[in-house]
Formats: sequence, structure tokens, C-alpha cells
Amino acid sequence: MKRWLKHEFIGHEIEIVSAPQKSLAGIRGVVVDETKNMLVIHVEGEDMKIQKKNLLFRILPENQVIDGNRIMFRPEDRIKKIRR
Amino acid sequence: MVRRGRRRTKEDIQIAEERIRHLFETATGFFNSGWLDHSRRCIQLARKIGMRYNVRIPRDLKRLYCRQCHTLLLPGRTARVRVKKARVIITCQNCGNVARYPYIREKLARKLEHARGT
Repeated sequence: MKRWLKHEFIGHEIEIVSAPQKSLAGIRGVVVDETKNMLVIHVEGEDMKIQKKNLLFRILPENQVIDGNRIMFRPEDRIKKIRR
Repeated sequence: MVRRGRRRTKEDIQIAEERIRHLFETATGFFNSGWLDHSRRCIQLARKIGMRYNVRIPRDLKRLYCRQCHTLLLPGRTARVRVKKARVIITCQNCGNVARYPYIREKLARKLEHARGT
């Protein structure tokens, strides 16, 4: 778990478990970009920007559920700032 | 001085190295799917991670991107590679940035060796 929080999401497929906007749940896509507050995922030919706040998503190959509130950092800061 | 996060550990450096490699792989994947902007962004992030954790970009990947616009440089597709005057000259076809890598030292060494041989 703690390893994934520090790792790269870009290029991995994720599935949204729950989000403040209910219609987003269940959506699958490949992460193409990440900022401090958003994940950009590619779903069926278009990019969707999804806020990390209060987001629960699953990394598909590992089936690991991640809490978006814990990764609210810039991608390059994430290794340093996350503590277990 | 404000410290940004805690000090880096050996594990952090290892993760940073893995992430840089991973980002270059995905950048190549995105490039082949035609998502040039995402590919550039990947390389930009890889560089940022390298700078933040004092990790070098591996040697084999170092010449693979444009330092100015972060495009993947593939000879014949996005880059022009020429060998002139003891330099490898790589031109980015996207932004026109030119990188020159001299090998004059190697050339002189070879010359010396040759002179000694005969």
C-alpha cells in the first residue's frame, strides 16, 4: 500500500471506486497526466480531468485501492511528502 | 529555511529511479499512440523527479529527449542526427533545438594510437 502511494500512476489503468460526483464511479481509463489536485485519465478517446479530493480509485493490475486525499501533492513531491 | 518534506532516504532514491524509467517507457508508449503532448509531459515529470531527488537520468535515456521541449528524439522521425567535425549533432524537428556532443577526445586518442602503431 505505502509503496503505491509513492509510485507513478501515469501509464497505469485505473478504475474509479467512488467520487464526489457520483456518475464517475466505475469509470476505467489510463492515467495520462497528474497535477497536485487532479488526475487526467483517458477514457474512450477523450481526456477526463478528475479531482483527487475525496476520490477513491483502484489501480487495475494490482487491484490496490488508493485514497485520493493522501496523494494531494505534485507528482514529483509525492515520494518525499508521503509518510506512512 | 523551510524544509519541503522529510529528508530523502535510500528507498526514496530507488523509487525515483524506478519512476524515471517507468515514465520514459510510458512516454514511448504515448508517443507511439500519437499523444505527443502527454509524451512530453512524461519526460518533463521524469526530469523533475530527477532534479528533486538528485537522481541522474540513465545514460541510455539521456540523449533520447529534447532538453528544450521534452520531445522524444527518434532519429528519422523527430530528430536529425549528423556527424560533423568530430561532433554528433542532434536537431529536434519539433522545436529546432540543436544539441552537440563532441567526441574530439576519442578522435585524438585514436590518432595517437595510430601514430604509435606505425
